[in-house]
Amino acid sequence: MDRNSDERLVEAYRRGDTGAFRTLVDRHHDDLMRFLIRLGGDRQVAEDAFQEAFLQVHLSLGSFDTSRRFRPWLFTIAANKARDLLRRKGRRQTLELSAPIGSAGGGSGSEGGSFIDLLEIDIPSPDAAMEDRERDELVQRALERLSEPLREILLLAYFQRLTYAQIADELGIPLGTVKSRLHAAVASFAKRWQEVAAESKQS
Amino acid sequence: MSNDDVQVAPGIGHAGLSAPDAEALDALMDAGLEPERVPAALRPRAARVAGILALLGHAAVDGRDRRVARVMGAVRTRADGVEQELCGDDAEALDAWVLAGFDASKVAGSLRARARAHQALADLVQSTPPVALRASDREGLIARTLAGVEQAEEINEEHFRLRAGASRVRWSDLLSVAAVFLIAASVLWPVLSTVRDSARRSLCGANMREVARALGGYSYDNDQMLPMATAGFAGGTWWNVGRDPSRSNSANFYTLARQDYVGLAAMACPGNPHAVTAPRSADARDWSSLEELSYSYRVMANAERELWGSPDRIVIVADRSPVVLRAVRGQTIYPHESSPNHAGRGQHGLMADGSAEWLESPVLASGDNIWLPKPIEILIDVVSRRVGLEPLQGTEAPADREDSFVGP
Repeated sequence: MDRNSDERLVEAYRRGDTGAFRTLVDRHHDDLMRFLIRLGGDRQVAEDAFQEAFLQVHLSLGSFDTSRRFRPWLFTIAANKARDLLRRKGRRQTLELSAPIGSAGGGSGSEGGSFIDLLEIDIPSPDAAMEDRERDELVQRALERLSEPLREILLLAYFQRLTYAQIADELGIPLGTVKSRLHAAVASFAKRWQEVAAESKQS
Repeated sequence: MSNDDVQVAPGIGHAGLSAPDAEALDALMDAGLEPERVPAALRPRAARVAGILALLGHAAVDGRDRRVARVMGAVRTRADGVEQELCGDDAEALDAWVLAGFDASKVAGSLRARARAHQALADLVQSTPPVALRASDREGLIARTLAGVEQAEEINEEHFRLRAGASRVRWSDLLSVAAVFLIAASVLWPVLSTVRDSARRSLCGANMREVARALGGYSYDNDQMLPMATAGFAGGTWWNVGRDPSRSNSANFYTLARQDYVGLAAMACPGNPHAVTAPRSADARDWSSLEELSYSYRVMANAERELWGSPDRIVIVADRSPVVLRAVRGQTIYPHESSPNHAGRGQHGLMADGSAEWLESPVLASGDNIWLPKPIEILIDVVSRRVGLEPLQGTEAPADREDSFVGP
């Protein structure tokens, strides 16, 4: 194992090397913050969850099995913290009733139950002309139209890049369910993305 | 028959329409708003009406569609995932992409384009939002996170200091009370204490037999091993009772209670005022403080097979070690001191052969001190036989199989 792997750093921190902990926080900051902002749609909640997650990591260090991977453990803890915070804030998923839906793509095929064909969807590359802020907002809007379980599985898969078996293990759900849920999540997200992108073009 | 006439009309009725226009409109409505299906005689007029309707009505019609769409969208948002499905190729590409470790370039050629689309979708989510727009935000959050952890650690240490402080006070209180009591009851004391001590000693001896039975059961069920819950201590300290079960030797001993080989009551010596007889919680893995612990157990630095049941005179369990109690507090140790469980008169020792004995001294006939590993014993022997020198570090292990060495 790499000497600077997350798991080695956890071991070093257990032995009292506080610098190792700083490295862990620093290393996972960007990805974890993106994940949390995406999950809760709220920067403040994301920051709070970020801090609480690392505090929990510190407190639970004794129970962490270093033969397992650190990153999935961290993300799972963080997702739990974010969920708790959102619940405490009394925030429910808000339906954007003001947003027109279903007029995307112009064709009648985009209406109602349908099969998503990714090659027909316009997905901008990260360096496309679209402004960061705009793309950021559209992604968030698309994600907010997903139900919580679908959003969570999509984000866990995208951010953690785990195999189906690993996701099943982390979430404690059967492998087949992971597969079908991720399929549904990707399809729904692609669909919502198509909608919000079309809306933004209209307005 | 102007356009103005028609403009008033939509959605209100035919009021103000010229008769031919009204007729054309009716025909148009009957024809489902399709001028081609209007009878030829009325068709030109109907076409014009339709043209104007389309021109003006776009917003209105679209508005209704939008409202419908909005409601449909809300319904769908609630039940999403039910209707949306990936087309077959996309589903296959998604599986292939996940299997390839999320690397589209490793996906078979026929699915690669679709795997790349999946990758683009993931990148879209993952690359936004730009969290590190301002370095100061990033640093600020990291600093706050570290400060939070540090604060938690301080509270934790404070907690220990308070507890240590409280126990010091209790000790000195006990001493002054004992001094007064000693003078007042000096006549009665020998009689009372002898009676009480022998009662405690026999209860404690019964505990030893219970523990011996439990050890026998455990070892029989577990391939001749002694209870071990930790993975050794790898040179780390093993006296973190109640603080870290993975670095506490008593967590090894606690396994007997956790796995129901024996009740905690049988692991509580009546001579220990802080002993507990019931688990603190259902998932407890150790006693919650050194004080609660009544017995010391062989320091399990390694899993040793077939130690239990061997005829060698090796102490596996004993009344709690006074040496560890002193060493943990950073005090000078007295290697020849007996356990505080029985007022320093001696201690029970449970031997590897299953017999429980009353030992008046912690030093066995072989010269082996049960409170210490051999290297320290030798050192102490060389320098002095009486006064403690280097306190036990809490990291030592039995020097070899024959070395009796118990803790905490």
